[in-house]
Amino acid sequence: MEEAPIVSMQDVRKRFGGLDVLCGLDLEVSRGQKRVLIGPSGAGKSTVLRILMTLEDIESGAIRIDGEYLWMPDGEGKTTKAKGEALRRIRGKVGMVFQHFNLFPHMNVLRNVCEAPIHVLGLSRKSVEERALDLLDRVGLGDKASAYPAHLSGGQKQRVAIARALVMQPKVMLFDEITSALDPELVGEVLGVLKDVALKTDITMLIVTHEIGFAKEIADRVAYVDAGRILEDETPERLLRNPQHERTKKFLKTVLTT
Amino acid sequence: MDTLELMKNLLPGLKITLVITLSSALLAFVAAFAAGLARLSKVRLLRALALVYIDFFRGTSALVQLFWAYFALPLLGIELNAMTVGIVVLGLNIGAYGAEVVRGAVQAVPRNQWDAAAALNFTHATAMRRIILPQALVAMLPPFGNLLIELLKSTALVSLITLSDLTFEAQVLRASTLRSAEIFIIVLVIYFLIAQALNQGVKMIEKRFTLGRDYGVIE
Ligand SMILES: Nc1ncnc2c1ncn2[C@@H]1O[C@H](COP(=O)(O)OP(=O)(O)OP(=O)(O)O)[C@@H](O)[C@H]1O
Ligand SMILES: [Mg+2]
Repeated sequence: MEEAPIVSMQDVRKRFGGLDVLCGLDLEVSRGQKRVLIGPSGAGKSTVLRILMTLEDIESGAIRIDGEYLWMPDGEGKTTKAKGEALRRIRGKVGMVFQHFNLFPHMNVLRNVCEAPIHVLGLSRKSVEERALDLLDRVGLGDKASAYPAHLSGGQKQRVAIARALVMQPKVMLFDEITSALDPELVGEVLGVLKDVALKTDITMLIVTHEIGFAKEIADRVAYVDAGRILEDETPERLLRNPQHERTKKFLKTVLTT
Repeated sequence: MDTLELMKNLLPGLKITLVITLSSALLAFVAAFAAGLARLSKVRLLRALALVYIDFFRGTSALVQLFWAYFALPLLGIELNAMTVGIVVLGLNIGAYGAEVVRGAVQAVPRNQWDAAAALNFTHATAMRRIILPQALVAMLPPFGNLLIELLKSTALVSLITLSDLTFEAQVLRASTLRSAEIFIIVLVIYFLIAQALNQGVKMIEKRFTLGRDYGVIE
């Protein structure tokens, strides 16, 4: 018997104002999988991640994370969100790295990383700081622990953000175009860290990116999202070499030539 | 009477002015946070109560509020001494303006900070306390500084509910010595100097709070 997927979205619909952003989206991610989402601007990729991070509500559909309902449908078209303890438990299994880092500007790097384990998980400062410094070393920022975000480059900020998410030991990590706000020369260092996490941990990863080459290197599967649906969902080799839909072909042509 | 002696005669008034300023400032600070955060609450009743408080105190004159609390409340059986009335009314009055400062500053913290906090599984209250408010505070301090000066200036009103503050003492002294020009120059300078001191105090706090962001690494 196959193991149940750690993330499952079924027939998810999401509107912003009058706009249908997700139109019956289905997505299953198995445990430990590195899944890349690609697709044109406005397709709904960020929305998918933000919904899984519990930052956005949905109109209808079912969403389960690690066996628990984040959104449970009632069979009559309505769906309700997990509340209270259940919501916090589910949220604790998911972590996210944002396009614009979203570091806490009033805290130095070490505190950015330690704040949540101490004040959310209630761990002791000493043990947390030790682990945080290890993680900072791992992302190449061991010497920046006492620097403030304002004094870091974009690439350094994003690596702090990755350490800050990792320290919470989520089962699922969401990465939303984490290199697209960076100067080109800083993209490599962040992708390097991401690759390290992908190869050396069994964390399930959902990665939205336009870096097709990178996707090819680390993804188990690549999903092509278009107009609020997943149009194709394949191994990177198959999707990149032999896309089935016209729209996928067109999209790949534009990203591969730029 | 030489100038020094004139100043000596003003000292008791100065003391009252300072006590009222600092005590009402403390009350105003608490009221500003309570009402400012209540305005942002999910609970409708809290929002409504805060709005009534803020609109009432901002929409009526501080002098009439003082008169009302001092002369009208006793008719309802609530008798407070002039000092208490001065501190409470001025504190609540400035607190109402402060509440809008608090609300504006909290709302001005970018949404993405809430997102980041939620992604790290902070509760709303902990996120507010540890992530949002410390950032909002930096934006609150300059307007708080202005309100503090407003408060200092409005303490002169308490002379009209029988308190012998600096302004009141100056009036008394003028009546007995007739040296109006000299006395009121002295009083102006004293108010000015207190205002400067308050300003400096707020600036120091501001510096302390922006340290990391402006001056880089703190060891
Ligand atoms: N908070 C919001 N309010 C209104 N509309 C929104 C909001 N967030 C997203 N949208 C709309 O939803 C659609 C999908 O947005 P989303 O950010 O998920 O796209 P995306 O695939 O991540 O695109 P990009 O590659 O540009 O990041 C877009 O049309 C966008 O304008
Ligand atoms: Mg996006």
